[in-house]
Amino acid sequence: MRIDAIGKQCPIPVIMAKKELDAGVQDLEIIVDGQTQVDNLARLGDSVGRPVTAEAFEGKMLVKFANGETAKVEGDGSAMCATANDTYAVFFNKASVGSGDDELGLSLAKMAIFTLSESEKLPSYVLFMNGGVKLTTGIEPQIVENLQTMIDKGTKVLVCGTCLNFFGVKDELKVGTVSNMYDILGAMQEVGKVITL
Amino acid sequence: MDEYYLYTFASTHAAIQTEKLLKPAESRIMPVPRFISASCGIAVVIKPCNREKAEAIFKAESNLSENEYAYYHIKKGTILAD
Repeated sequence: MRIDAIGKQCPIPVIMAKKELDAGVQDLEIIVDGQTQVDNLARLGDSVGRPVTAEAFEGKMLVKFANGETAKVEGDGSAMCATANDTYAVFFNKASVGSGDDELGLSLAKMAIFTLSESEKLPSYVLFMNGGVKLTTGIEPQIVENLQTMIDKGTKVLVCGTCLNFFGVKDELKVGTVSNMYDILGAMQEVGKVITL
Repeated sequence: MDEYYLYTFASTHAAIQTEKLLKPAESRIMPVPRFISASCGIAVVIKPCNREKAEAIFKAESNLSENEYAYYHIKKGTILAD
């Protein structure tokens, strides 16, 4: 059985999944928007003894519950939702980490993105505005590779289209989704904290 | 990234210069792994397939003396002696 929970925010996907798990449904899959929802479903899966695996699927995430008996857990599952503090976004507003020296800043940005891509707790979003959008245009292949790794694991990469346009590099975007002020600000409001580097 | 070759440096400038020098060998940078040093630093990473190319360029063109860098072969988070 496959549940479509695209566009659904927590607690809806966990409630939908728990209902089927409690009914003993096997081969249960659910499609959700991104890493936040995957993390919530993973908590649900662990709590009822049906751990999940997740993979990228047509720009969304496909979560599969292991087969087996569902342990009885009270409630509708909404307690599995991450509190807002569990989620975060990383915001690059220049092609640098900090200010002082551009070359050093770019090296630090490369290492920061590498370190994020290897970390166990990935950001829900990586957001690029103003000069930060240059990081997504392939000036450093390493950054493109590492952002793609994060996208494959469920992170969303949003790149300010106005900014790409301003710098004349719209055709050079190598990774991420061209986005706008509404979506980027919406992402910042959705997560528990925004880290500006 | 199970296996890779890693340069670490006495100075940040040497790290940035070496990364540029080794671009033809697809050099990448990462923070110096904790198991090598607790201090903050930039390390240059080379994949095994680019090792010979990187070593040749480094030998021919780098002017760093032996006490200005260290070179490691890392496999599964362990330093191999070679």
